[in-house]
Amino acid sequence: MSDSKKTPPEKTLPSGKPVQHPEYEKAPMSRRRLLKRIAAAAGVAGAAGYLSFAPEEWPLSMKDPTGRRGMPKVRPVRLQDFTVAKPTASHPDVGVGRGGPPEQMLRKALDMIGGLQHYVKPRDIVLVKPNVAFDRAPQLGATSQPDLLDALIRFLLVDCRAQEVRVCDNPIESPPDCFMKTGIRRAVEKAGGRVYLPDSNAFKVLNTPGAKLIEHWAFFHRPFTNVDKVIGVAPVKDHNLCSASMGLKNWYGLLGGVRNQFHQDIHGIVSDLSIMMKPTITILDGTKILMKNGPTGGDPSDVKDGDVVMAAVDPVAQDAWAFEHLLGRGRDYPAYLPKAQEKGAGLLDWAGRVKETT
Amino acid sequence: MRTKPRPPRKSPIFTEFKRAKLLRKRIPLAEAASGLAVLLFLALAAGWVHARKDDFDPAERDLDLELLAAKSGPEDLYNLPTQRWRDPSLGPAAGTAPAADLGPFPAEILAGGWSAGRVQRFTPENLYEKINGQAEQYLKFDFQELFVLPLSHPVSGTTVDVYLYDQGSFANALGLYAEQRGDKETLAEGAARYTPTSLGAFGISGTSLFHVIGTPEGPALSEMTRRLVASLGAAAGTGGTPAPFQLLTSALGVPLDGIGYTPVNAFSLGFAERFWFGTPDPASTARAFAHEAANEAEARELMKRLVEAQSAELEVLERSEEEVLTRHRFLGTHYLFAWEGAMVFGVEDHPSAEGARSLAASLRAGVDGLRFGLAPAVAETPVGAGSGAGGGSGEDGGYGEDGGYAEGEGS
Repeated sequence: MSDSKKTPPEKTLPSGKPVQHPEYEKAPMSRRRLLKRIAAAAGVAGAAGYLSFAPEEWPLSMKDPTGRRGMPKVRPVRLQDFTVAKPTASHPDVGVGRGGPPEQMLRKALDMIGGLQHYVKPRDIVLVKPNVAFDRAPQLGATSQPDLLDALIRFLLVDCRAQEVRVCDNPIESPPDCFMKTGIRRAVEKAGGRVYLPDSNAFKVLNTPGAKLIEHWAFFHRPFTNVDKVIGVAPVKDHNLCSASMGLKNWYGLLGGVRNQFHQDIHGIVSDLSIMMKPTITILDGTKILMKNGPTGGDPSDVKDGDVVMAAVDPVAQDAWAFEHLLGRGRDYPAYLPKAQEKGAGLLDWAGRVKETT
Repeated sequence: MRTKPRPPRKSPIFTEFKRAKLLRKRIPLAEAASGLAVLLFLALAAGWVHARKDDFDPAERDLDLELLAAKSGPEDLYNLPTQRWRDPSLGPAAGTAPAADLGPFPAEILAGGWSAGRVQRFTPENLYEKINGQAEQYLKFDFQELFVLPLSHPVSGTTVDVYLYDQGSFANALGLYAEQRGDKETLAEGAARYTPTSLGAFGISGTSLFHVIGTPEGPALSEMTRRLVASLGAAAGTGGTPAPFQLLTSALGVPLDGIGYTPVNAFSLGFAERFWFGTPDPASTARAFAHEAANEAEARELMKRLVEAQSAELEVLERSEEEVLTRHRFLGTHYLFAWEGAMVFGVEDHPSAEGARSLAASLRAGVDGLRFGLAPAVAETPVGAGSGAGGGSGEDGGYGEDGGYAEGEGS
């Protein structure tokens, strides 16, 4: 007890002053250790200097005089191939249903290519892409017909037991107005589908290998999240710039950005679309055919009432057949169809691959 | 007072960490199990986050519009400014509520319970936002601006959209109208010429082309269409009609239905611009054409170029200083090119040489009439007569001393 209270003898300097920290024990650093630490510090400083000051093009350089390196990195996405093989080789690539209400014509056309249930399985999420490009009444033939969409969505939800049917398009005009005036929003929601409207956060940069104009381009991607199958539903109509707008041209509505610039090379962009999207099925609506003054139309007398609905797994052959038989323009096909064939999207020669039923 | 001395440091400069030793010999099972459960939960959470990434369900972020509307309270985003003082002796102002801004559209179209939405305006730079894919057709005809007026009638549920395209000139408006109309009928209402459709109408009025598109079909839509066409016809300016147009309507009596205008690339020739075409006889393929050059020399030169550029297809049968008669080598039809004053005119695709000469003679007489005031039968109205009409006098312009077309009281 008395020892613990004993204070150690106070150390003093030669000058007689007390040592400030008598507990300090001198432990000199060895030369080897000093050199190692100097080398480590020099290495760290050198690496930091290199990263900071090395020219931009040197490896690992972090110099960024232009600010480009600091810009957010956009990671392009790719679309999967949504195609499904036909049940048997004997099934035609293009089915044509004639006669009756749109629902019957659609069912006939789908049955020709093997039936919708072969292509869409239970719990699939299905995206349906109609043409809703303008805020026009359906009688004007500038957009997809709501009756046909209604029938298709019911088939998907009831017959195929799809988990969800999403319907989307990106019209340049006000999307809510377009979906409302075309009657498509009402038809879709009534049938049990869900409409996805575009907004600025709904787009991603899409990488389409082999595309000339849209190898990297903004794409209305949000509705495609977790989608298993994709079905296009397009009207058949005259087009001021590319002669005809049908199944392939319909995918144009999924592009974002300043896409009107592509009108300079309309055939190039449509052929690019043919490799951008590999749909499960493409449906052509030949019940209201806009024969002239397309793509907007405006006069119901320009619209021919047809009795045809087509379903196809080869969109090129389908468009070629429709161009000849629905628009009645012979075999002087729009230039984008041969281009799409060159890019491997399908075969232009539909002979022997189309089957009609009435 | 001295403080308690601190324990000596183990290392003078750097702390050297050593592996921590577990002091406890035994860990209770419950503690081990709960620790593992926490670790498992964290691992699952990390795995879930990794799997989801940005792969979210889009539906999660959407709110139903109806739900939003139901839960929203009224909010006055805009309060009208205080009204200007008005002398009470002048009586109440006509219409206390501020009138909707209808842009170029007359206010009387709203009579009968119709209400108007916001007028949209588009220019050549953003026309594609309204009619993507069709915009190029309008731009080819020198489109200036587009006004779109949405109208609705709450009682009948009818909605109507009115599109008014300012094409800059009567020629462009008519050319575009002819291209869209095809072989449909043309009716007249005041200064407007229009083609009715089951969902409205489209036509021209002054320098503008208009489209009226409504839904559903019914008396309300018909009534509004009539009203719109009448008001657009009444509002049309009486600007001068081009001399070639007058020539075709006066000299040949071509109705408006039969007249077209090609601003560029006429005859598929890059240098041939601003040509008017008229079909005197709907049963025949023959068409008369006319173009107004800047002066006589230019007209003469243009006629020569037209003949030379088509020499591969056209065989010259007769040639004079003012006129060249040719025959198509493959079709066998006749083409005649002529000029007089500043006017280049002629006939294309006529089955007989005599017929082509006859039409050209009529055109030349018409040009003389316009140039020298020989009182030709010229269109009555600025936009020409309706079907079959041909007479009239050139009240809106004529040929001056220099052979050029001048606006005014005419010849």
